Amino acid sequence: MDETTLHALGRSQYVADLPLPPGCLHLAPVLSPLAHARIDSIDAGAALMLPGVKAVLSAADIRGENQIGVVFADEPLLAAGEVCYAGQVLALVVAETADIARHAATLLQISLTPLPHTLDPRQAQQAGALFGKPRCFSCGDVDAAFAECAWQASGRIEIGGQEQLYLETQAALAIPRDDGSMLVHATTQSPSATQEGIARVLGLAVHQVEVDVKRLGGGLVAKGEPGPRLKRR
Amino acid sequence: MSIAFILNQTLQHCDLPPHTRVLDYLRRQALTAAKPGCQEGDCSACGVLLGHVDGTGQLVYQHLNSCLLPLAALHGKHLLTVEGLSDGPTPLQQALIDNGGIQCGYCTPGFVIALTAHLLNSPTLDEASLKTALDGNLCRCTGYAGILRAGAAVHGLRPQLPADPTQRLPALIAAGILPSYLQQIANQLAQLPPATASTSAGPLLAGGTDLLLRQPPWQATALMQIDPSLDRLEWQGGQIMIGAGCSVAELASSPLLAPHLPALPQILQHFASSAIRQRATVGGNLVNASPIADLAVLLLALDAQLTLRSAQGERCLPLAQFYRGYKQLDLRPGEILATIRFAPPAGQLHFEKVAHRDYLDIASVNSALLLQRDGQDIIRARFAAGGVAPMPLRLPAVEQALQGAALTPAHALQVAELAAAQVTPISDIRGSARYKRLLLRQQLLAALLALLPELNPEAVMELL
Repeated sequence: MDETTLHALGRSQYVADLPLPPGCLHLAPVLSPLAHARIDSIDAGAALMLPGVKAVLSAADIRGENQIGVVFADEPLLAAGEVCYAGQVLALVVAETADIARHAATLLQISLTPLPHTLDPRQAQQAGALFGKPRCFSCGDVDAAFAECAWQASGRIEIGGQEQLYLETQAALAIPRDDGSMLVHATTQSPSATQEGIARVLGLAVHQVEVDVKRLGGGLVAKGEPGPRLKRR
Repeated sequence: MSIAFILNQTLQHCDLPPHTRVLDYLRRQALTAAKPGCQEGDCSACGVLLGHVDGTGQLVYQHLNSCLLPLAALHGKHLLTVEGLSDGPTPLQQALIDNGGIQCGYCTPGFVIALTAHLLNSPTLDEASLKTALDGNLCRCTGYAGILRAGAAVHGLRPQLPADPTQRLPALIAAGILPSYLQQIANQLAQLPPATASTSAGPLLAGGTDLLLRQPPWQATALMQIDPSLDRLEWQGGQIMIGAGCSVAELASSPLLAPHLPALPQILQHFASSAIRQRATVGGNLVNASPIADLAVLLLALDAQLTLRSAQGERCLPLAQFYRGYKQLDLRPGEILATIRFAPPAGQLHFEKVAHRDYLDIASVNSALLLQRDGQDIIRARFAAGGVAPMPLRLPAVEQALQGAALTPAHALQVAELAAAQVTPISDIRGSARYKRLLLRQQLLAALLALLPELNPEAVMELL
C-alpha cells in the first residue's frame, strides 16, 4: 500500500504513534519562568516522593558534554548555573507515565535569582550582552563585487523571525540496546545533527547512536535543529 | 462509574476517570488515527464522530475534537474513528488521494472525519457549507486546494443523497462512505445500561471545551448529569428560555430563535469552530466567566435573566449582576446555572468581534448593540462589551447617551468616544489597553453604521 493511502486510512505511524516498549518511561521538562537568572538551587525532594517518579535530571547528571549546538557549540541541553531565556530547560523529570512526570515537574522547588535582561537586540549589542562572539558569514570579495554593480541600493529592513507551524508536535522515543548503544526515533529534519548531539551528551561514539526518522507530520524546516525542542504549556 | 459505549464495532465498559480525554483513551487502545496536534481544539487533527440516537429515534453523528472530549461524554453513544470507517479507502478517502489533498498526512484523518460529517449533516452540499464544515481543520502542507477539490468531488454523490440530512445514513452506507455495521448501532446502543450519577468532587463539566484545557489534567472532575430540561430551548411566558446545557450549534440552528435573531447563525460562525460549537454550551460559556465570552456579551445586550438552581430552590438574577469581578460569579456553593431567559428583542441586534484571526479565535474586543427605534428616534439602546474590563460589561452611560433623537455623525462619534473612556482594558497578548479602547470605539461606530442606514459613513469618517 502506498504512503498516501496509508495516510488516508489513518494507518501511518508517526513517532508518537509507535507502540511503546514494556517499561517505557516518560519525560517532562521543567522550564525557566525567567528570561535571565542565576540558578541557586534545584530541590527535587518533593517530586521524587511522588509514586512513579524515577529520576529528576539536571545539568550535573549529564555524563558527556552538556552541548547540543549544531552550527556552533553554543547551546547547552540543560541550563547550568544560569538561564538565558524564558522557557530554557532547567531539569527533566522521568516517570512511569506522562501524567505523573508532568505533575512531578510542577513540584520542583527551584530557586532563581533574577538577573537583568535585554529584549531588544540592538540594545543588547550596545551593552555588549551577546551570546558568543559576533560572526560574519561571507563568500568572495563583497566590496569588489558591489563596486562592479551597475546599480546600488541601500536601506534597512527589520524581520520578525517566526518558526513555521507544523501539526505533528515534537516527540522522541529512545530505546537503550543491550550493548549500551541507543536507538532513537525522533521528529527531526536533521537526523545526523541529532545523532551527534545525543552521542556528545551521553558520552558515546557517534556509531553507538542510531536516529531513525520514518516520516514527519510536517517539518517546514522548523524541525531542522536536533529535536525535540521542549515546551510545556 | 463504568462508562459504556461502542467503539467502532466493539462494546466497551471503561473504568478510567470520567474526565480522561478521549484522545488519550484512543491512544491507549492503540488507535492512533486521531492525531494529537494543538490539543486545544484549534486544529481538529484529533477529530472523531460521536453517534447517538436523538429524540426522534434517528442515529445522529457529530464531528467532535477528541482532545476536548471527556470520556464520560461517550456513555451510551457510538464513537467512530477513522479506523472504524473501512478496511480500504472509502470514496471520500480516495477523493483526497486523487485530488492531491494529502501531503504529510498528519491532518488527513481529521479531514476524513470532518468531510464525512459534512456529507452526513450539511443541509446543503455546496462550497460554502463545505468550508464551514472544515472551519476547524488545519493543514500546513497542501494549501487546502486539493482538500477542497476532494470535497467538491464527493459532492458528486448529491443525486444519490436525500436532501434531508436525517435520512442520509443508509445512502452513505450504500455509497461506501460509511460502514454497513452502522445499521445495527441504534439497536446496540438501546441495550447499553443507563448512566449513573458521578460522585467525584470537582468542578461541574458541561461541554468541557474550556475546562479540559486547564492544567493539571489529573484533577478529579464531576460530570454534570445533564438534566434533559437543561437541554431545552423553548417559549416560556412570552420569553425565550435557553437551557444551560444547550450547545452553541443548537442556538445557531434553532428555528425558534431564527425569526427573532436572524443575524445569530452568522454571528456564531465566529464562535470557535463547528466541532467546538457542537460541544460548547451556553451555560458553560457564561459560567466560565471569560471577560471576552461571546455569548455573555450577546446575552447582556439582550438583557438576559438567569435562573440559578440548588437543592434549596431557585433564584433569578439579571446576567449583568452575575459577574462580580475577574472570574468571580454570584454563584453560591451547590448552585448551578439552569436556564437563561430573555424577551424577544423589539429592535435590531448587531455584534462585532475583532480577534487576531477572523475565525476560530478569541476576541481582543467584542461588543453587541441592540437598538429599538421609533421612526428615526432611538427609544431604547443596550450596549455590552467584552475584553475591556475584568468581566463582560453593560455600559449604561453609553445606552443613555444613545437614547433620544436621531444620531448625527458628530453625536455618534461622541458616544463612541464615551464608550472608549468608560472602560478599563488591560494590555495583554490580545492587544494593548490603548488599542482595545480604540477597538471599542470603532466597534460601536461600526454597529451604529450597520443599524442606522441614515447615518452617513463618509461623514463619520471625516470626523475621525
